[in-house]
Amino acid sequence: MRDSPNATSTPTELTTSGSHPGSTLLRRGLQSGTLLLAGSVVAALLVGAILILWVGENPLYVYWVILTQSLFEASGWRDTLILATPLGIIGIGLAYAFRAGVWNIGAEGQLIVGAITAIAVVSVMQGFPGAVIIVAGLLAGMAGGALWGAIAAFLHVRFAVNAVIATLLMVFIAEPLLNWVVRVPLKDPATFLPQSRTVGNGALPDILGTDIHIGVLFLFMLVPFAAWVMSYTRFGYLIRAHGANRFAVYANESRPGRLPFMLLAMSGALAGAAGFIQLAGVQMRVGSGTAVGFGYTAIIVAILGRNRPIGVFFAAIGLSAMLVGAEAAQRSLGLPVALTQSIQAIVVIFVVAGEAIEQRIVRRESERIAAATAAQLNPGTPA
Amino acid sequence: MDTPAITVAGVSRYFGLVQALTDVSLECRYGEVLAILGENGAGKTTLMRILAGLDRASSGQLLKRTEPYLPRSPRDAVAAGVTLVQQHFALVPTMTATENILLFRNRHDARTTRSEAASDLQALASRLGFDIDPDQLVGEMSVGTRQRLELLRALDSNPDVLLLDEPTSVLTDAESDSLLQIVKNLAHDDNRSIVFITHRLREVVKAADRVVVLRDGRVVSPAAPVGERTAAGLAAEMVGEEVHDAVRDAKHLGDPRLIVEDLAAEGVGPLSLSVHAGEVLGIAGVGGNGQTELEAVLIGARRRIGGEAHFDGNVLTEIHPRQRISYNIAYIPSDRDRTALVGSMRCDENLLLGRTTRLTRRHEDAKPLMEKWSVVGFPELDAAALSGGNAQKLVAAREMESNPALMLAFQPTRGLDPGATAFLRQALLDTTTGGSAVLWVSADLDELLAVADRIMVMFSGQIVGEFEPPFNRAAIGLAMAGMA
Amino acid sequence: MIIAEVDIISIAFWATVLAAGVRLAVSVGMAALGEMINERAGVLNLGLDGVMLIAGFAGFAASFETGSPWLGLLVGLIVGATVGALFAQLVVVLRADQVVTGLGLALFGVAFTAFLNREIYGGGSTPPRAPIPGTWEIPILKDIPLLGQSLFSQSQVAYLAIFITILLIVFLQRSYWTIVLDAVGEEPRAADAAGHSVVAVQFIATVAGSALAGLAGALLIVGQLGFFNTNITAGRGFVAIALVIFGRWRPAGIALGALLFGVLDALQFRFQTLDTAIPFEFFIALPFIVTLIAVAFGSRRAREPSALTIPFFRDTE
Repeated sequence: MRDSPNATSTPTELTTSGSHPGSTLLRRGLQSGTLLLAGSVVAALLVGAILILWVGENPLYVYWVILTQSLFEASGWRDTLILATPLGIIGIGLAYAFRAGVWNIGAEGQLIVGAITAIAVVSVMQGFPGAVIIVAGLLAGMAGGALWGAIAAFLHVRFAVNAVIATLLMVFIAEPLLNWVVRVPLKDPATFLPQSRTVGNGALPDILGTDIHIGVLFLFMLVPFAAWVMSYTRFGYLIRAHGANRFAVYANESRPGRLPFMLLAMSGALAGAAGFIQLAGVQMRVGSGTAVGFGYTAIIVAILGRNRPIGVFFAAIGLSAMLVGAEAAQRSLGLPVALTQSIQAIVVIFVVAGEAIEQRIVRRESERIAAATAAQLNPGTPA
Repeated sequence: MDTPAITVAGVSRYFGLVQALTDVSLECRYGEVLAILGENGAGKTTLMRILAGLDRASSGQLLKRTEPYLPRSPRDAVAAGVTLVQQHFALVPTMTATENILLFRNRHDARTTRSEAASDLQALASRLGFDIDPDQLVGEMSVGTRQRLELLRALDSNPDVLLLDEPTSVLTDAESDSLLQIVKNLAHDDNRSIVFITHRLREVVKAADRVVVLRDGRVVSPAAPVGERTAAGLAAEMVGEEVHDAVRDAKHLGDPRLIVEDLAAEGVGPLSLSVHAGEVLGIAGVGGNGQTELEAVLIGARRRIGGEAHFDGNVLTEIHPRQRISYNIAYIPSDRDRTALVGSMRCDENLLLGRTTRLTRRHEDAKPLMEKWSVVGFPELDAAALSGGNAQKLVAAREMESNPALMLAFQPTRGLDPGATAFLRQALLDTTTGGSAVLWVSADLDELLAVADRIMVMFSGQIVGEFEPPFNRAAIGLAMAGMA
Repeated sequence: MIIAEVDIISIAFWATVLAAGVRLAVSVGMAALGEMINERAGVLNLGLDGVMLIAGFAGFAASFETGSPWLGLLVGLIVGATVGALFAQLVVVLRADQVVTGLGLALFGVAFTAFLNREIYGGGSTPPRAPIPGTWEIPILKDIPLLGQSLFSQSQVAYLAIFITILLIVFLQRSYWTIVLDAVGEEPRAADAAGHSVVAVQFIATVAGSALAGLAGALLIVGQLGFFNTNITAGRGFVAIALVIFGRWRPAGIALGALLFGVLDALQFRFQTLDTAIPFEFFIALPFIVTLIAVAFGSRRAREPSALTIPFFRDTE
């Protein structure tokens, strides 16, 4: 890596010297990011309001419909939870990777391969009891996703291929693989469509007394577990340390590359798990409904969740609720879902832009403080 | 003849609290080579960067001939006829020699085609007697060839002032001799003004007409003809003459614990040394003479080419960081910001790095530890919010709390305030009472004179001298300047 | 089966496939050439697909309202450049994260154009059609066996794309600016030391790259299809990013890669019903597999620019 010359590292040392309480306070306030997130959402909703006005509707009424239809109605809740499940599961894996500074943008491919391995295993196990098939399918899905992530990880760690490039390219290998699998080896001979047989006994049952499949519980168990691991275990600690300063980890804890490898495989495994849950809980077959972009949307979920498991959970719920509500609004008001999706994308862009502006302010502020201190100590220096 | 090509008048540069340059004045005439001699951190590079438009002075004035000279970018400097040959980052390795020449040409130059640049390059190279293939990728060139290309590229704009920043730091003696001869000719035959900065006395003697010594950002001796100076005098001025040469008693030393034999890695060695139980071995030397490479290979991060390093019989090279910690070896890295601490994590979390302390107990454990090591701060504070001295104390608390058997300390007090420096020095010395061995690498000779039981000097990746108390400062200074 | 085998070895079959391959390569190749420009300056634009959609939709609207597809192409180029300037403002000037911003742009492009299309053109399954440029048949040359049909009897937009590609190949081979562009992407410090503004070069490269991506979107929607539909690019922007890597950041390599993709894609349609020994999807995946291996084992010149996605800070800042 590049070393900056000696003299230039001094400003950073100074800015962080804590001699100026304001700088720490400012940093703390910005670090939490809640303010930024709320601001971005509000700003994006305002942009959305303009678009809604242009369409000739009342923005407040539209937002009210979206909110009530997704969160204040039983069917809305159900759809929201079911949609949030794959997004949240993948999002948590990605949040782990992103938190450590490792870019996995190939969750889509990992999900596809997870779904393929899951359906393959589920198909040959049809005679077994449902619970056994489900566990085997879940594990197979995770193994498939982990394998896909690990291939990219190997290229990244061993051959220094940019992780963005490696994971993205693996998606383009997974997609034709999916097309082939449903066209030839796993094709359901009963139909002309390129799709697999159904999961049969491997279908996820509904939670007692509801019509929500039990895959949702996986998310509800995963979130607290992931949050606990991140905050209270050595592994979580290393992930955070790696993201903040990987060189310190390499000097004191582990060999370079180990953690990125594990995280790419692990986030792949979670994408694979989501692939299975979506297959056995919603789609029932592998086919055209398998690769619908959850892997990409989950990136947004992870970013909006600030790479923290609890945050990811709420981001997944929030994003799903918006989409479910938007579909209701489309039905009742004729307002396209695409509008809501646009607003979501705008939120993302506002958040990253806001982050960048924040960092710029912090940098400027600390430079100003350093200059002021210097001027104070060395009269005659132009401040 | 007597209008100086470039004049520096009362220039100061502050980086926050640190004074990189204080009231520096000097001038360089046409047709002469002016050497600026100094250790690392003496402010040489900062001065060069200001002259080349890469940095700006906080106060003071620059003159080019008689005109005020205020370069705001390297482009301005080149336009004014001032060109810098930098130590790093100046060439693009994935491009050919010709392309690198082109990159530095102004777009308004008439000659911006490859063939023109290639023929210019070859003409210039043959005039200086260089052998350079214009179509070779820079990444595939030897370091010597790269350095020559740097010089050619700087000369491409036909500057009347040429600035050279440690131009020979990566070259062999023979290579550097021929380069210096060319530098000399460029000044004397072409009537250019050449300023070159170095910490090598030998080069000053070989190439320079006049020499200025810089220490701690100040001119300690104004420019004087090289012929009027003695090597010993220059070396003494470069390293300073403060007389707290507290003569340390020769201690009774135990058996050797750290044994390094013919150890070699990229950029360092082969070198041998040993540190005994209860001993502080100081490694002196101007920064950039293989210390960081020695550090990397000793902590297992750099592949070794040959030789061995053992501690109490355990192999040290190419080991896992956790293994190092299991041998109870403490490590204070020279690159504090990058490898010692995670700035955006809390102090208590930083105390866990490489340790086996339970995560859940981090807070309870951290408080007394920070108090014991007098770290001004609290466990919840981000490490980045600590001052340099407190940050280093936090590192010391983590590394030394378990009474290490071996301490590898690299530049442990660099850039720290006097209080923290004294505290850390004492803490490091205290570890030896239990029979631990301390390897103390420092660019601060005064520090080593005060703490070390034995001093070795590193120069160009090699150990060039070994000294026992009472230390002869002048002899050490000469060794540091490569005149051992 | 037998008919198919006869088919496969006939020149007529390959001539059609090649012609279809060129047609399919036009848009994705142009987008990849655009992306190549900004990547060589160290800026990764994962929002390529979004740029193609937004610019393509704008171009379609212009073409539909005025009846002039050429105006539509121009609008696509301009809108692409505008979106690129906004993206550059975020990632180059403000130094926002390139990966996330790019993905945001990609998602925004799909959703926003779907929304506009629905509001303005109804978004139905039978979208309104705008006229598309015709074909040029070049006499004599078009009768060359195998190549005649694919190279000399193409849509006018294909000639435009080929012309721009040749222009880029020539310009990037010989020019002073290529060196500045590459230096900014490889060793921004060196470029800075040489007096070039890293931020300015990256900004211009991003705008230029997005302009070509915008044109690419318009080539597809305005020049070839003549109608708009939700997510009509079907991820071509992402394929284009992979193509840049396949082509090792060189225009000729990218053009060849695009052609290869186009031909494989064209073959896929014709092979879908056949039961071949090697599954045809393998050939679709093959270029990506080759690309991954090439990136892993290639020399440094065959790899991505060293400073890709890394924002530049000058030391003294």
